[in-house]
Amino acid sequence: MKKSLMDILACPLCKGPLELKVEKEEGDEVVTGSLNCSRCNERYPIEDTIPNLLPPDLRKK
Amino acid sequence: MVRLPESSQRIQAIRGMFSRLAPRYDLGNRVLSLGLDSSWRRSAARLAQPGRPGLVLDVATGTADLALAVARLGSRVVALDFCEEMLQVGMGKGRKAGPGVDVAFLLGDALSLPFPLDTFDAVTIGFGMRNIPDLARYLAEVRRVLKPGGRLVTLELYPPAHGSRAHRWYLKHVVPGVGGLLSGQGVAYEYLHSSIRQFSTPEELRDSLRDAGFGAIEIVPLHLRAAMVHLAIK
Repeated sequence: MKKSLMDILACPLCKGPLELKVEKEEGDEVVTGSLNCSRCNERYPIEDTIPNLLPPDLRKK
Repeated sequence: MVRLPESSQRIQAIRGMFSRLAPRYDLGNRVLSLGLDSSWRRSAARLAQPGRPGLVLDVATGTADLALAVARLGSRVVALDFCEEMLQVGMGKGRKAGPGVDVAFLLGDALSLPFPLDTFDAVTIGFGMRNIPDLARYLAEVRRVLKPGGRLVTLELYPPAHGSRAHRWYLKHVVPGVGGLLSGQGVAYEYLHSSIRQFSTPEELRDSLRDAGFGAIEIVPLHLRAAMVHLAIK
């Protein structure tokens, strides 16, 4: 996920802002990390550069 | 007819079907649309971007053919799908398309879009709306994330309106048979056929768009009305 995508991402539940936490990056690309919504207390993972912003009930078990 | 359970179970079932189809989905599309689907997507992409390039969301992007068609015209595209296996195929195609084609991929739900109000110049969806379980909620979400004056471009297949027996026969017999042979997933192509039959008519979709608050709605038929684009403005 390109960091510039943060400009337009929001929590899928409350539509509020998300906070990016980077665990691994390559240049401008986040490879592993998470997007966190403090309002919903929800964490959306970034794995293999793909942010997973599915609502929690639709995430694969 | 393939029956599917409702709500989140239905979403999970459709997603499982697409994850199994992903490796050979593009081949199935090319063969079963007689090679026409790429030209339909290019037409939809041009309708999404009539003026200068902008920021475009492609919902239910699948293997990203429509997202890439829009990005090739110069727009920055966000490609969203609920099925990771389909996105992976699309990402591979995005990498091959080169650095000038700007597509960002993310997993997300069409009914709970992860963007703030008034974000996109256009939203596109190609052959995906049939899989969305709640049309009114989807249209409300799309309208929320579109900028005022933004365009919603909906490309879909419809059942033959009046007596085209050849088209009906093709959808009922050729699509599941050939699709099954190509993918090893005959049940998925039976679902495709039944989802086309159950899907609303172009006129019903126009009414749903109007009820959701869209204006200046145009229906653009492609290739003897086998596919159609609805263009609607927020």
